Amino acid sequence: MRYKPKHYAEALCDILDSADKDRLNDILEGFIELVAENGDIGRMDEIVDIFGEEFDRREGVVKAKVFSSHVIDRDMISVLKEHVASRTDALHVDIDQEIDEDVLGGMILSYGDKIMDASLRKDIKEMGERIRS
Amino acid sequence: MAGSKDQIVEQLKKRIEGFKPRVVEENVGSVLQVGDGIARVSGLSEAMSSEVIRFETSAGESIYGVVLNLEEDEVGAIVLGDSSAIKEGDRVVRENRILDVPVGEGVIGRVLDPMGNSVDGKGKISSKESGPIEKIAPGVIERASVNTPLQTGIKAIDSMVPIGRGQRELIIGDRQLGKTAIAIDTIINQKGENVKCVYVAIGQKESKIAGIVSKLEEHGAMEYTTVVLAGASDPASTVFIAPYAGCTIAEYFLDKGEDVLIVYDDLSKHAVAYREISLLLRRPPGREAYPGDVFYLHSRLLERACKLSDKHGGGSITALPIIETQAGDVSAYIPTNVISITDGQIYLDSQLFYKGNRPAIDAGNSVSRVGGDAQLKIVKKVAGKMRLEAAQYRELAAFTQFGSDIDKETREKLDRGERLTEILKQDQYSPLDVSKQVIIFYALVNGYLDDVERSKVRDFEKGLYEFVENNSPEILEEIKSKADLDEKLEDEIKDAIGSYKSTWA
Repeated sequence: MRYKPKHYAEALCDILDSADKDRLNDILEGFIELVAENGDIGRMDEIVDIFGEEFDRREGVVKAKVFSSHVIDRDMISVLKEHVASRTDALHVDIDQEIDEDVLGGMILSYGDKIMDASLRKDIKEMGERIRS
Repeated sequence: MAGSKDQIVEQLKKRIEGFKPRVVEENVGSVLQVGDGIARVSGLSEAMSSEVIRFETSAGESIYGVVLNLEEDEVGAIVLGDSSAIKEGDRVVRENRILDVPVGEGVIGRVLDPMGNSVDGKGKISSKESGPIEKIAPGVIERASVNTPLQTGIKAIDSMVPIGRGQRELIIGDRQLGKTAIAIDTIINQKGENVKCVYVAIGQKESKIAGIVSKLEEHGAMEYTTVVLAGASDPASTVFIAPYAGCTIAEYFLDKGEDVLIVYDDLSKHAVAYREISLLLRRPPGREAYPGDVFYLHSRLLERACKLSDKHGGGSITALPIIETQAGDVSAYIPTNVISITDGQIYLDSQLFYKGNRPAIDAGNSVSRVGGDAQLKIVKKVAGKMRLEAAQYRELAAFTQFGSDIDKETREKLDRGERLTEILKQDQYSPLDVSKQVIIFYALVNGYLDDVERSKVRDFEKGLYEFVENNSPEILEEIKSKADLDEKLEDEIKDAIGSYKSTWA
């Protein structure tokens, strides 16, 4: 049977949840050997990514990203964190900031497969559509 | 000039002032794979089956799609547009709606694609209303039994396999036997009958459809007809949604209490398009590689054809689905499915066709399960036994073709059958009014044609119509208004045929 990267990631999470800290290295070594034996070592990057997502999910961590044309202050960041936490039941929210001048003003918040667009770029686009209609 | 400039500025101001920026949370995904009209999308964790999604291409274009597969980590969707413009990684957004098409009076006389865009070069569809393409069919409580006839104008059908308003009657046969011709003649015959018509071309050649539309225009039938066109070169996704879009257009009139006739030409190609989509979406193939839900594909479509009770407006949708068989094999997968869903079938036979009996309706294999209840009483009285006689004649003719020694009774049956066959021949695009049908059937059944030479039967028939039209047009009116055969009317018909026959000789 061929396993999906998601299967490997979930299995590793399950084992690490209940394992002793001293045995972590052995477990990881065994895991890599198993992946190699199954001929899936080429998919290791994918497995690691999914493991990261799965680990965050279990720990209640949600990663978010905010795009804006200027640096956002701390107060606003904590408001955004609260908002994301309220929408996702997260225990901890990590927010990355990225400056994107095309946003023009306002911001775009993205987390999971959700996007909240409060940018000036979107407003101008919508207003243009309204005038044209 | 200055006044109009101010007006424009004022209008713009109003629009800008009325604009309120809004922030909405959108569920998005990104394209993993695209090709052959199918896309696989990651994300979209909240997407629902049959929901519309929007692909935002790098060129800033929006292309729509419909979700068909909900899988563990991804979503499989059909693309309703040029899938080559979509690239891996393009953003996909949920639209929170299911696919809809414009409906209303504005679509009458138009040719649309299944998404509701006009393809007849007459500009945008003016209709403001729209309806979802997938809808649950009316339930038992809302329905009534079929009780009003839908005259096709084709003698062989109206006499032997009558169709009622709200019935689903399959037209089945090999290629090039006149399946579409029957449907088109039926549409032409609805002129003045207060029946709206929808013709759905599924995977048909566009040249054929252009011909059909011009014929419908020529006969004034486009005044009450809408054509939904998914051409042979359109992607399978467009072909797949075409009959549902056509049905939605029909349902608008049904809900208004009107009668609608819808033709699906043809459902074999629809099943093939669905098979293509299903295989590309990696759904498990079953018999003839069709997916497991191919029966439901057609049953949910044809169940939407119905006759509603008076309490629910009394409207009806009569469906004429068409199925193309291969070498007359009605026991293939899709033909048997659709036969079992519909309320009867009109079977076209290649042997009859090549013998010159057109329309080539095989009376023995054709059946109408509910139309008999809706048939006009007068037609029932006059032509009640014709189907049996036609079927018996074919059997007898096959039996006696090598024998010369035939008893008198059989000879009479054969003679009558030969004349019946001649009477049932009918040219394309010339549907016949029911009152004239009654007169010729009466003449046949009561032996008025027995001494007319077989080769002259059609001339006799033509002359009889002209004679009645010129000398006793009131009979035609009476047949229509009474819709039953009483003694007085029968005497009048007898007199008219008798007088004509005396001039005929």
